Amino acid sequence: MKEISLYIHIPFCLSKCPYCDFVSFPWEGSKASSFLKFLKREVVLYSSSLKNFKVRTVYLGGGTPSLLGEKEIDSLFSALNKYFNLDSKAEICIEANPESVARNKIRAWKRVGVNRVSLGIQSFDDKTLCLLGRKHDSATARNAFNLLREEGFGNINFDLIFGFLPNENWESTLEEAMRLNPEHISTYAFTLKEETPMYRKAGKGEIEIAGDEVQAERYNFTSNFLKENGYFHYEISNFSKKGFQCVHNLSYWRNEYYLGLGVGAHSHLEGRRFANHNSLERYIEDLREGKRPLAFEEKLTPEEELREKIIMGFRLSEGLEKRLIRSCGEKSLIFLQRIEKLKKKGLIGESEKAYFIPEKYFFVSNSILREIV
Amino acid sequence: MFDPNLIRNFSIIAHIDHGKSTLADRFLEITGAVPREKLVEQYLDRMDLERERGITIKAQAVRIPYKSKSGLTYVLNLIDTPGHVDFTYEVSRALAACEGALLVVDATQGVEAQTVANTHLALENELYIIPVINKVDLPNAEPERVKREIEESLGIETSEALLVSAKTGEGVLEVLEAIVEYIPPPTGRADESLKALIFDSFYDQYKGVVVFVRVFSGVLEAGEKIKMMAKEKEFEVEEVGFLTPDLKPTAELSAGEVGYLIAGIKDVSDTRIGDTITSAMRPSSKPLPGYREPKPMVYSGLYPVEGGEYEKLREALNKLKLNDPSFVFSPESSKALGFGFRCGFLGLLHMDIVKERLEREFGLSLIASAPNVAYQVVTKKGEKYFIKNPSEIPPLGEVEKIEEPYVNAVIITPSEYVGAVMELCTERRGEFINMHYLSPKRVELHYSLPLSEVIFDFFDKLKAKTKGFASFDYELIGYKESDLVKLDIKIAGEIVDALSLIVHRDKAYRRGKELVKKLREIIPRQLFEVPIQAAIGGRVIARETVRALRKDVLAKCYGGDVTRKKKLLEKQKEGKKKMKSLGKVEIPQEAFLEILKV
Repeated sequence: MKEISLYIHIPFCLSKCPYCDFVSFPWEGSKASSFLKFLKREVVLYSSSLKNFKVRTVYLGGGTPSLLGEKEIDSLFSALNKYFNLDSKAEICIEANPESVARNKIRAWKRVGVNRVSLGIQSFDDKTLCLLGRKHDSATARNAFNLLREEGFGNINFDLIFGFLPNENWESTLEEAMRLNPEHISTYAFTLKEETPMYRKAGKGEIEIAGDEVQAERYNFTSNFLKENGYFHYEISNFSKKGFQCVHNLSYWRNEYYLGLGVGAHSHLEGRRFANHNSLERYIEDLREGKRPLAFEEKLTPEEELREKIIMGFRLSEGLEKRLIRSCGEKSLIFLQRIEKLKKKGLIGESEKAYFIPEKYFFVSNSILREIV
Repeated sequence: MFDPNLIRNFSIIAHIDHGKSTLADRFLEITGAVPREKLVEQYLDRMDLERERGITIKAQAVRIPYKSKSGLTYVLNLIDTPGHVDFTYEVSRALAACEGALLVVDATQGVEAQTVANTHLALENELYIIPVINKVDLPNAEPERVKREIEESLGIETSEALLVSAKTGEGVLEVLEAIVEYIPPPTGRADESLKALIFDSFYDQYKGVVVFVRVFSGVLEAGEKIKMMAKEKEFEVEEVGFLTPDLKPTAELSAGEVGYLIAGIKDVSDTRIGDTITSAMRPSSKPLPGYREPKPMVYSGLYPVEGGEYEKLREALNKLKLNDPSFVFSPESSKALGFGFRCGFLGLLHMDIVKERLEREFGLSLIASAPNVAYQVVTKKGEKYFIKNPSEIPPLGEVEKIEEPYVNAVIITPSEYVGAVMELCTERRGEFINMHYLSPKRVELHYSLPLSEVIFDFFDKLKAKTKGFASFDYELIGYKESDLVKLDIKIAGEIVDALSLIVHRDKAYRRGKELVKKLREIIPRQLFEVPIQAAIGGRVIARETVRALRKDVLAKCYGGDVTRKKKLLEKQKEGKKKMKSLGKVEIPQEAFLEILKV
């Protein structure tokens, strides 16, 4: 049976963080239950397409999926189990913000099979958290983590943001993370996104954001620090203990098939790429009419597929398998030539089976990717 | 044959915007030489470029029949001269074709540097000069002050100066009368051997080369065999005629007359301005004085932006040269710019015009390297080189001396700016010659300056320092030894030939610093550190470093949204197409052009 990953986007947060440009709306009970109703319709809509697929991972992202109540979780998963073939060993992950983690919810997650939790901690420095507009403090984050451990979660990720403020106590955030010792750490360089309140604030000079140099320093520091503490730097922004790589995210980076459900979700399925509307209203409207709520859908040529494999695959430290690059006949040659050229400059490494970007160039990887694709 | 006593050949000397073209237009209108409905402004400036820039690039001539108050009908030949210092030689030859000149000065402005320079040319050619004060209708006209300036600056008596308004027509008729009365008629005789002066020519795709001439002696007629004395080429005249200013064939042109000839000439360079035409059968023993070979003053590399357009550029240059023998070109190649041509021009305006015509008339897109003057290098072995490209200079150790061209410059400025002007001239390595007051408020300064200091934004700086009031003109006086060095720019250790330049040693340090600083600003960060150095010989005098790129990454690839990332990369890639590779360093095309302009 073919395998597929499943992504479900829950587009609600208690409030939108001022730096965030993801698809998310302020939580309203009525809106959320309406959304969930149509989300289940979307599940039904895809049940026949996924008839021959085994669902290998489920990822509840957002937004803030931990805002969902026990009943809502139960009913969502009963629909998933009814209409899709969920693998009994599937990685099932939920994103949670510390302030909305509670024992009853954790138990509901366990009950429906969730076996990985990704905590949106971002920082253990309270001043930083406040300026980021987060709703929790470091104590809340620690409590949430301890609660998860108490309830038996043995695969926990921390989302951390570095390079936000020029001076942000980043080392102590890392040290605190090490004391808690999660299995996985995703750590992202802070990025100013246009059309966010933070972007305007920075534009007016009301806040100073760390520059590229500082971010690069901090990135290198993080990589060394986490490696010394037993983590593998397996993707540009991701570190894990042995055996705890995020299976779901690997399916993106290996450009495998995944189906995204919910507002703004992206999919890659059998040579097609498509994405749902970012607007909740249009999403609901289409589903009400029994249509797939698509903003766009495109068929990928084999060459496009390969370019996407390259763009994603080179994010991984293992790189991209040579046989995958060669899979595109004559078109492959152009890419291989470019890769060879970069290899001579030392910008691409080669292992027995794969080509990869050396770790020291991770933070400038776009410059290298542009030369290939 | 028209009675030479009824011919008047004259030119108009005026500073830009002092009203030369308007006055000429008025002559044509009043005498009916050109029908009213055909008159457009700047009638004599026939190239689009001339009208757009409001200047005269090529000499023109027009035959104006004029019935004077005495009842006699005269022929007035107005020879319109180019209006820019780049074309001083052409101006002098056009003046040589005349017996007199109108000196037109704006009553609201006064004498300007170009007026001074061209009046001196006219006096050298022994022309009778009639001062004409124009724009007297304006409320701020100061004809008395302007008259004093003319006397002070040019030593010309102004008691008979004419006060006119070319715009309203006031006093224009008096000017025509004065031309008839004061300018002497031509003196040559038709029964002597043929001598005619070439004062311009142009290429017509149907007729071949059309040559503008002034006959000094003898008769020029169709069927005659003629000889270009300096070029030593012979042709058979097919047609002669007058310029109305359209070509109007006639039986003959005899002594004193101005007109054109067509003689199956295919190449404009066979008809050098200033050359003397004589009869091949009965040649004159001596040519008219004053001929010299056109000599480029400024050189620049012209390169196609698209490497594939090299052949197209070569063709365009060949065609353009048919029409403009004063510019020269030869193939060259540059590591930075690829294949192109080193071109020599009469000056920066000429360079601009040629480049613009190439782009406009031949649809080319061109990069011009920074212009430079031509240097003379004498090596220690005693060999002499004429250097047209800074990268050709022999290694420093082999050079005995370098000589550069110098000019005599005249600057006229309101007296309050004298200090600022002197400062500018000193900064440009100028040597003071003298100065005098034209009036209590205006000063005329003379300086000797290196041409290289004059051609780079000197005029702009002068305008800036004098709120636009100063005027400036110059003439080449020859080569002088200078303490010059070749300044090389190295990017990532490699010399970029297109950026090499020759500078005075005292200025090398500052220039080098400026250049490397500018380069550091425009070279985008690369994956490795890029040193930028300015060096003289092997010695580095300035250095900057473009630090390595530290961040170029999409940190988070959200929820499998590959499309977004792909689009981002594609957008960045688009930008990269416009990059120019210098060794392993990539520089945006525009930035590279920017640097060449420094």
